[in-house]
Parts: sequence; C-alpha cells; structure tokens
Amino acid sequence: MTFKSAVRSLPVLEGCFHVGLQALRSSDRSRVTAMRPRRLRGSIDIDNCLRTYYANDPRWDYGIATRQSSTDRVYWLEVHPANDGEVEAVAKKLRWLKKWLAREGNAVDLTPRAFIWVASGRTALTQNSPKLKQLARLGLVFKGGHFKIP
Amino acid sequence: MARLQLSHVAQINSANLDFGHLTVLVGPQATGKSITLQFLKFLVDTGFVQDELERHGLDWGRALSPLLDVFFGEGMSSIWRDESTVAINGRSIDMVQLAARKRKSRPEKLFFIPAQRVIALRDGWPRPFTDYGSGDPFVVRDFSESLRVLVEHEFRTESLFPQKKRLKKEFRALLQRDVFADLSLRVDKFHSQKRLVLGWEPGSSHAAHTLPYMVWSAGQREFVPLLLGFYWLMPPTKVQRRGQIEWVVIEELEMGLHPRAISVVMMMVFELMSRGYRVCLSTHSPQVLEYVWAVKNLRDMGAAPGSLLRAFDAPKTQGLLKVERAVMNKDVRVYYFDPSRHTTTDISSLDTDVGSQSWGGLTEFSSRVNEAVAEAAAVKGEPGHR
Repeated sequence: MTFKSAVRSLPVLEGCFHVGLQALRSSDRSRVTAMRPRRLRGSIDIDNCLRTYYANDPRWDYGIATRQSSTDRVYWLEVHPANDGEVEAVAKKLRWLKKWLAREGNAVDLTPRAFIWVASGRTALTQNSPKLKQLARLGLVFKGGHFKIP
Repeated sequence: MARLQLSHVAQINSANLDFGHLTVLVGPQATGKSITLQFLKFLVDTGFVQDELERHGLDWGRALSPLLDVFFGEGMSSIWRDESTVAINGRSIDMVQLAARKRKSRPEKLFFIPAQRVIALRDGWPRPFTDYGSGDPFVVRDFSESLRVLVEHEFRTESLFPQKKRLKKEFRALLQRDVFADLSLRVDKFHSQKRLVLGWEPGSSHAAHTLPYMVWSAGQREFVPLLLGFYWLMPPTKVQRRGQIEWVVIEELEMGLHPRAISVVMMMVFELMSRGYRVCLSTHSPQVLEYVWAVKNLRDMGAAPGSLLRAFDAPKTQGLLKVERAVMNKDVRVYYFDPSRHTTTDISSLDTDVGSQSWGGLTEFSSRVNEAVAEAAAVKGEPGHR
C-alpha cells in the first residue's frame, strides 16, 4: 500500500494528505529539505488532523513519506524546542504516536519507518547528551535544527 | 597578532585563524594543528627562539632549511616549499629573510605546553634543554627547560602539591579530589639525586611514603608536567602573569586524563584567561568543546552567575565566580582542520546540527551511535511498547 492510499483509507485522516511537503506549517517548512524531491510521496499534519479527536493528548507533528526501492518509507517528524527539559515531553509524544499507530493508525504505519526530532529555535542539546541516548533507545533520532530527507 | 594565515605549508593548503582570547583547534591527526601552533610560537617569539638556539650552541647558518629542522624537529624543513607563504595580520612574512637576520632579543611572549610533555621528565626530574638531541622539536626542549628552572629555583625543598602559594585553593581542592586523591607531590632525594615523588604524608597508614616516577600512573605522568606548566604561568605572587608572557598554547590538554581531571584543567585554562593570557588549545576531546559550547550559550542566554561553575561541578566561591565573570566576556574561537580539503573552517558557532563536520568530527561518533540504536529501535520497537 502506498502512503497516499493508506492515509485515504483512514476516516480520521480524511482530507489530511498533501503532496510533497505541503502538510508542513510554513514555520516548519524551512527546517526540512528533501534531497531527492521527486521521491517525496506526500505528507500529513497529524497534530492538526487529530486535534478534534485527541484535543488534550501530546500529539505528534508530521508524517512524511518518500519512495524507497519498492515501498514508501515514512519519516515521523516532530518539530519541538530542543533542550534537556523538553526531552521527556518529546518522549511522551513519541509514545503517544506509537500507540496511535499500533491501534488506530496502523494502516499508515508503513515500514521502514524512522522517528525524527528537529529543533524549533535554538538548540541546547549536544549529540553527547545521555538524554539523546535515552531517546535513541525509543527509536528517535535528534537531527538538530534541520532535517535533510535522504 | 590577531590573524595567522598559512598557505601550502606541510599538509595545509590554507589555514586562516583569527585568534580569540581562547582559540581551540580541532581535527583528525596529521591535519596541521601542531605545525600551525608551532608557527605561532616561532613568529611571536622569533628573537627569543634565535637567542635560545644560540645560547645552547645550535647554529642554523642563517639559512631557513636548517632553522626549520632545528625548530620543528629533524626532517621538518620539508614542510616549507617554494609556494609556501605565511602572513601575520595580512602582512606576508619573508621566512628566508627571517632566518638570515638575527632578530632583536626579546623576552618570551608565548609559553608552549607540547603534546609530548610526558618526556619532559626523566626519572622524575625535568630534563634540561641540552639533554635533548638537536633534532628534537624546540617547543619540547624549551618547555622542559622551563620546568627545570621552575623546580630548581622555586621548589628547593618544598612540597609541589598541594602548596598554599600556588593555585587558588578551590583548584587545589578540585585537583586533590579529581587527580591526586590523597597523594602529594614533592621533591625527594635518592642517593643524593633529587627527584619528584608522589607520596603520603608521614604518619599516614600507608607502608610506603613515596612513589617514584616509574610507578606513577600514566595519567599522573601526563598531569605533573602540565601542572608544572600552570605553576610557571601563575607565579606565587600578586603578579597576574609571568614575565612578558601573553600567549599560552596547550596541545591536547586532555591527554591521559579522566574526564573529571579534564574539567579541572579546563577551569584552570579559564583562570589563565581571567589573568589576561590569550590561550590556544588543540584537542581531540568533545568534552573541551562541550565547555566552550556552554560558555557561548550561557553568555547568549544571559545566564545567572554560577551557571558555568555548575557545568564544572565546581563550588560557587568568590574566586571562581570572578573567573567565570571574566571568561563570559572573552572572545572564543573554534577552528576545524579539514582533512579532505586541507583547509581550516571557523566552527565557532558550534551549531549542534548534525552535519559532516559535527564539531570538527568530535561528535560524529555519538551521532552515528544514536542513529544506529534509534534505527534498530524504530524497527523492533522499544521494550513493552510494541
């Protein structure tokens, strides 16, 4: 199944699919670059789309799909302030996303997948931070202030 | 000197360094960091270097090639080629003329603590300049000679560490905690030969009271010459700096040291800066850049006094707060010696974005480790969550 058809198969994501990186809010758009734009297979703004259903939950930001050999690979992207104090908040969001993907959003949980954190504003975390290692164990990669989609 | 430019020197295609109060050089081995720092020494102290060479019977015949061999070390004249150039503050230096003409005698302005500092001690005593071969680098011989003068003239029968007149008491406490444990460093005699020993105070529960040089740990052997270098730079008087020295170069300050000891040494580097020295470091330690990063960020954020000391796990005493205050107002630069292009890049901003340079390659391994683990975890799921 392609990312586009997977998104369209979920009623809660109705109207959420956008081509390219168009689902990203303008403030976040500059933080992401597709190194191979032709491989982009669309994006969704989960935070916005699921606001009605999960108003008080720590919702994740985006899903971005690219074509990788014969399948669509999904980068689950969170744009969030980057400092030690926010690590737990991002971890909570990641747990929420994984639960949502396992239960309701299973159709869009395509593999391979990757969970990415991009800093909004100033980065106050170093790659040596033990807290980033905790997040790595959860499957999350911190990419600093900008993410280049391979 | 504010700017040094080297072009086509040794493996360096182009190096452009604007020095701050603290300048840190990073990059893999054999990228030209040490040669650059030795050039800095040579150009700042040309008259002093020539004096010292002559004083110790070294004759370069007023020619550049033998001068480079005797200053940088045997075989190093090959670092200078026809197309090589060096400039200070944008002004090109004629190296051939520099070698041909005896420069006016001047006191030493740059104190160089070389990476090979461990060989400055033999059997626990600093080696004199003439103890080395004529093909050994000048900076090693000169450093060693300074330590000899220091120990012979300023520590005749005293304990070297801890010593009330040397270093702030906070540094002594941190060194005692993180480097020496309950050992002291003092001058001892063995068959009439003076030597430095580590030992416990008489009356302690230890059977042996002294540990000679040969049984010191690798870290202690590395640290003692470094400590003596700091002693040289911090005279036991109200004087802030020794003689006319304005610059300090410390190569690979982290060598052989545990991270806790590296922290103390970095604090002592900040003390040098607060005394008005301009300090240049070369390092392979991400920890050193972490502290530089902390200084830059805490300053930008207008952090409360004591924030930097917190990063060092150091006490917020008046003395250390004063050092912190001084460092926060200093200009700090970081340069990456790029092994692929053989050029230097100013990475002073120390952006934490993951890139090919990632702090001069010092954190690329952490990034890669994080990514490898995250990729595996993203597939299989964290325990209990998938």
